[in-house]
Amino acid sequence: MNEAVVMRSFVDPDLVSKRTSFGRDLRLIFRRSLAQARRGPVFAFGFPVAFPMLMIGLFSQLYGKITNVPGFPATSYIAWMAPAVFLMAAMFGSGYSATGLVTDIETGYLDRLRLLPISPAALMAGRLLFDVVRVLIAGTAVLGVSVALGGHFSGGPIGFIGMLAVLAVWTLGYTGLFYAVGLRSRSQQKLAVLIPLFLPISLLSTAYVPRQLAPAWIRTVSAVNPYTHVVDAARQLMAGTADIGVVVEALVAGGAFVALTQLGAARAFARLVRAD
Amino acid sequence: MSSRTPADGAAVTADGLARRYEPDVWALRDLGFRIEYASVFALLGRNGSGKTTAVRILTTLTRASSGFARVAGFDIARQAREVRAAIGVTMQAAALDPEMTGREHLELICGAWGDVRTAARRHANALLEEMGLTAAADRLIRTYSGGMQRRLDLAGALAHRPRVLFLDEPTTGLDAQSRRLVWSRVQEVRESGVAVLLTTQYLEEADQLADVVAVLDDGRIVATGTPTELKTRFSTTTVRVRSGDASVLAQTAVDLSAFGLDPRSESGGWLSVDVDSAAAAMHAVYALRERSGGIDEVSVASPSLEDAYLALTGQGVERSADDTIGSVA
Repeated sequence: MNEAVVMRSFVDPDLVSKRTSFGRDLRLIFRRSLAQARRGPVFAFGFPVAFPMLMIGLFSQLYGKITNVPGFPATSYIAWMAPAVFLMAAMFGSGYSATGLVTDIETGYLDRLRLLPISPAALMAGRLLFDVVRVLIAGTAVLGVSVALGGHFSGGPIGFIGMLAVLAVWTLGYTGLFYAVGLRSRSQQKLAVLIPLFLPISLLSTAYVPRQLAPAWIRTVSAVNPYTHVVDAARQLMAGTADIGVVVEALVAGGAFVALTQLGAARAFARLVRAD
Repeated sequence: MSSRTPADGAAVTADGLARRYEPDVWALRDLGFRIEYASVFALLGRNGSGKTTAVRILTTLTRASSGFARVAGFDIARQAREVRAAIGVTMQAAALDPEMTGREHLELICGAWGDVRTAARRHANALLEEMGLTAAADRLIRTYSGGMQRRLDLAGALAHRPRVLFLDEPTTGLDAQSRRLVWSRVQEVRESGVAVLLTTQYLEEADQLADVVAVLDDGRIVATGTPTELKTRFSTTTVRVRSGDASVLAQTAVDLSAFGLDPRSESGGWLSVDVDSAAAAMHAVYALRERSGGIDEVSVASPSLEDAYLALTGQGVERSADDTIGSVA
């Protein structure tokens, strides 16, 4: 066997070291997620828009008169709920993201990606980046419909950008929870169990009822619920009455939630890719 | 040549590789072998014999519980990155995303290996062409046949011109045409100097493709050799003769016995004798010459890899219920 002839067909051994651009890895994974979502737009975009709309439609019909209760801080219930359902785009979008990842594990596609010179961090970050973009698009649609239905938006461009920032933080936190569970259990069923979680989280917050009208114990739980803080901030940003303290509080509470869930997800992912 | 690319030495060396899942469940125990460049090495075994575990360990996807291996000169435990750059892998279930097109799949792979977007596009086109998938390039992988999926997977595995190729059951469930296409690609790749490790449960595949076959049973290699070696070592050539005349048969049996052979009577006027060496075969020929007038028919059954395989791994493909896969007997 002629060694020289044989070796010429081989890969450039320095190819590995050339391939260290995190940005390119991120783009590759983002582009793949985008292609996937374009093929299933109903689940990727339709779901996180339709369910918040269903919530606001039904709740405003059922509880519309709650605004007549003395001390209710808004005249339209749709206006009151709009910032909360805007943030629900993140909650109804998380199932899609995490089941996609579990499917990749089940089919072995994640192993295929692990064998490529793509940084493991980019495998997750590229997905997360796409999740955020997807939810921001869905959230904007939800907001538009809410305003058309009678919600008031008077936050201006700053308010809008602020709302998107809050939604992005909330998406990272809530999706992190789903990723952590999905990566630990590697099971679609366990993820399905998580989906109704939005209900207690939103009920035990200021999403539907202002805190002064809620019983004391709910007020206590609501105060440590990060959703309360992002909803309060989004509400003020939407009304154009944003208090910087409330926005900072939302970013701190949301940031802590992100750190908690994303750290859990990152640890589970690291264990998965560390040749188990 | 870079120092990271040893120009000599084996493509794969494995020594004492084992993988234990629970205290007493071994997927693999004590696997050791050597694969040269420009050769095809087949791991032959039934489902659950440890083939996939072996591939996953050697491709750095799963950690070995014990043992060492070097692939393309790199330590699988400490140089996983270098190993991955030197190998191409196709996985058992053709791990593909059904919601991508073939082109998107290959462009992502080429992009990951360092092609800029336009280069990735060109490279993917060339690979699609090579595998006869140009017409299906923009269809979703979900719509591909099993054979097309395997070909696409193989194209992806070859995209960065690996030095060692791992194919986990590359032709299981494929039709004859697709199987032959995969086989001819494997041959071409080997001729270009690449080492190929393939797992298979098809004896014909091992016989046709492999330079060396290792029979894997219950997590360990029970025999290694060229297909011919295995055939001659673990099964025998059988010569059978038929005669309508019972006395001729009886006399033939006596003659064969006189040469130290051990003839057996079979129904239908047949007599069979195993000849496990050249000397035995010569003796049989001499013995039979004496009776050539009365013998109606002679047949010679060559040893098959299947006979060798069955001799090595027990009779059937099915295991008995209490013989659980991988457990310590």
